[in-house]
Amino acid sequence: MLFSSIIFLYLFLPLSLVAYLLNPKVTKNLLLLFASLLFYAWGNVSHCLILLGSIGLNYGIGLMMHRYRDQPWERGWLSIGISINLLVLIIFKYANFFIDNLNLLIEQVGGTTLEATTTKLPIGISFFTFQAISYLVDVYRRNAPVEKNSIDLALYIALFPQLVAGPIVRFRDINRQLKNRTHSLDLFSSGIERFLVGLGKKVLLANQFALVADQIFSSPVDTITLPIAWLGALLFTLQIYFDFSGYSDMAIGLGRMFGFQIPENFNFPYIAKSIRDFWRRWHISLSQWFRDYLYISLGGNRKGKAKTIRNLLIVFFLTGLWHGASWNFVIWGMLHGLFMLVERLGFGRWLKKAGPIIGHFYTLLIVIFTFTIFRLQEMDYLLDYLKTMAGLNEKPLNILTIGTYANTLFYALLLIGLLACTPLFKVINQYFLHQNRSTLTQNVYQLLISIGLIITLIWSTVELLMHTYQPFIYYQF
Amino acid sequence: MSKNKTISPIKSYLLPLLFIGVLSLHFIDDLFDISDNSTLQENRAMAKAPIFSFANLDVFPDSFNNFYGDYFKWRKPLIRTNSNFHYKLFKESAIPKKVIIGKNGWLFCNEDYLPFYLGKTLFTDEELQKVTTELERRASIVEANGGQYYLAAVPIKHSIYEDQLPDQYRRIGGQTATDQLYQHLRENTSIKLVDLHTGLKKIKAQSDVPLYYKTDNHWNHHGAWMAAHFLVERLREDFPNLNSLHDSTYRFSPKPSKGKSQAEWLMLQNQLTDANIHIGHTNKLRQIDTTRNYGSPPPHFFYANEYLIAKSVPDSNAPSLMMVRESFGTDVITHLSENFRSSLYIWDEWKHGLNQEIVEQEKPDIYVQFIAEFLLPRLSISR
Repeated sequence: MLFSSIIFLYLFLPLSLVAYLLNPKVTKNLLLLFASLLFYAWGNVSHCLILLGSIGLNYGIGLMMHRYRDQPWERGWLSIGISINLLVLIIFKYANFFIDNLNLLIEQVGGTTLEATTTKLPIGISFFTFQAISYLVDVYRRNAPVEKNSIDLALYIALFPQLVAGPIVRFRDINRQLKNRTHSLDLFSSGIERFLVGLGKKVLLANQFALVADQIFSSPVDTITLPIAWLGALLFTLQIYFDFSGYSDMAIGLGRMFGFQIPENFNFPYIAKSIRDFWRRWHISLSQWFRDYLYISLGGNRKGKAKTIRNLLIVFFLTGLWHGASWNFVIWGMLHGLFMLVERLGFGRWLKKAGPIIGHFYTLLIVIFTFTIFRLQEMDYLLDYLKTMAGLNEKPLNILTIGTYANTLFYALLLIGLLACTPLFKVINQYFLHQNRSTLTQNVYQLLISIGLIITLIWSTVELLMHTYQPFIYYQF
Repeated sequence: MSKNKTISPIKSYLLPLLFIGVLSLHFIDDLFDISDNSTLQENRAMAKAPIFSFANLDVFPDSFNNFYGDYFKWRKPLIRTNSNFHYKLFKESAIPKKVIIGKNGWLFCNEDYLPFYLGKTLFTDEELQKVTTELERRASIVEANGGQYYLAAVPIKHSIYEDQLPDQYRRIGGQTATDQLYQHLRENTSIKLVDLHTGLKKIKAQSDVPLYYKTDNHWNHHGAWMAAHFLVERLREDFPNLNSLHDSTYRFSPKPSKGKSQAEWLMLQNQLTDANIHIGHTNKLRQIDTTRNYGSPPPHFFYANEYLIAKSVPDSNAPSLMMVRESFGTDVITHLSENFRSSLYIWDEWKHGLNQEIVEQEKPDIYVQFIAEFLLPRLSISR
């Protein structure tokens, strides 16, 4: 089930909220867990068993680690837990990737290739696996207590607001809230606000940019001009940001509606002045996870320059691979790792001296360029497309027209999208809510915001419905 | 929350009230069936209510999603409002993937049609060869049964009324797949071709009476009559004993109408109007309906009653006709049937096969493959 779906907005969410509010405190977590499992099963009933399996495994491992606390077997159980978690992830997400690459080698030597598996990828497996691992490691490092209440641990892993697309919530950030959380009208209202902002980002911005971007990327390269190639790359850069950050906003908003404070996941990444700065702003929960559970475990930057470089490259290799089982994701990750290294080795200091404009320009160039690699999985097409972006291809004779979707409304949304990449709306919000503003100004502003958010809900509903509206010339059964 | 920021109490109360209000309003409307519940003109079967079964749990969610989406209470009013909004504010289509709004209220299908017109769906050399081989096969089978095979590519509206397309969709130079195929067939084969494009464009330039509906995909009765006329004139080059269609036997009278199918998709049938071209026959039609026993229509073919139409003109010495067609052929049937001693029209669910068994039984003097031009690639399949 998607947050941005009619059934979620008008059936699942209202029923969940009503049931949650009517339940006494003692059964709220159980109710939420049931709703979360139903939410997950709605995507694929069979995969719910994998989620339940993960919950059972990590609950058991946690208890065993606690039983062997301060003994050598505590680390042993941690290793078993991490290994099984990763094994499940590897089997479901990367098995065919490994098989395909192994087959390339086998073909070289004339051997018999292996058959790919037919297993489907369980939704959100990358997210809930990383959450589970963070629980085990936090328990081991004494950053969080072991969770003996199976319902609470199950809820931590399966909580539907952040189950399928993050943010990756660390157990230590939420364990107290599982036991005791505050519900207030302010929090509920701010949850609705955040949820609707996210919904607008996803449905009204990301989905609209995707229409034009997909049209460009599905066209033969020899119909694409240099400006159109850059437009496609820019649109995908915007699409992925609004899609991902929109979903995170919805997750944070939903969390607040149910009393949870989920950490932020994005902080205006496209105003970053360096790649290092970018990774402090983009998918914060993932970069923090890799920092805390891999980079630091490998030694971080404490074991000399060579090991720092090694550790960084490993982290970014895995960051790329985490995003998808394909070499283009790995290349994307490694390029970011490379630029991180270059900045660490001195270029970063030069960037700071060069000033913010150069820094922004450099960062955006790298980000847009690498997101193009992220998007285009077919290598031949990717290379040709990048050549077009660099102005190295001849001007096409039969030029692609993007007019079908790039209409007036699209350009208005593009302008809004570009502005929304900056803190402009946040600054406007702070201006009108400043204590120096009169109560009337604040009230009028809040009224307009509230109405605007409800318009966002209705407009998003319209866009979701338009997706289901498929008239045909001739009757279709 | 920064020190300087205060949250107005209005938002804390108003936003939840509005949010819950919208969701509750929908729930109440759904429960008590308050707002308009009629369906939209989508020409498709709406999703059925799914049956819950433990044996088949995995398919239930998707089925329920489709069902809920199709019967969402506010579906029709919101889609209608959206369509009006796009049209009134931007003069644009709310479903550009399906239909685009041209100049002067002309609507054009997108999807397969626009890319075809723009020349984006040209044949590869291999495809061209496949089509050629197949057409030659068909022609030889028809000839072996005593007939002549003709290919008539029916122009889509975009090809004739391109001046009414939005400027960004005008094709500047280049060819369509029709041009490409016709040129190839002329240069490399003896396949008999019928050119409807040239004649219809000429009539369009000379007459104010439209040949196509503004708000439907098809030609109107005037366009259909003209197409039948040009087809017959081409056939008369090889069959001089065929009579021409005489426009004196028909009277065309345009009458304003509400917008048709494409306007209905946009729910703008009152704003984007059209015209029906009524035909009055000045002479009594001689044709009569006859029957054939050539099997059943394809299963689940919605237009099954048009699968096979057979006509004849008593005491006629004119040639016989067999035509494989689709919806563009519907309005030419009456005009053509007057001129052939017997005529058979097959709508084979857009497959545009030869229908060899019927050819062998019918043994028509003239066989016309009457195919909407964007469907030409289907001729590469041997059937």
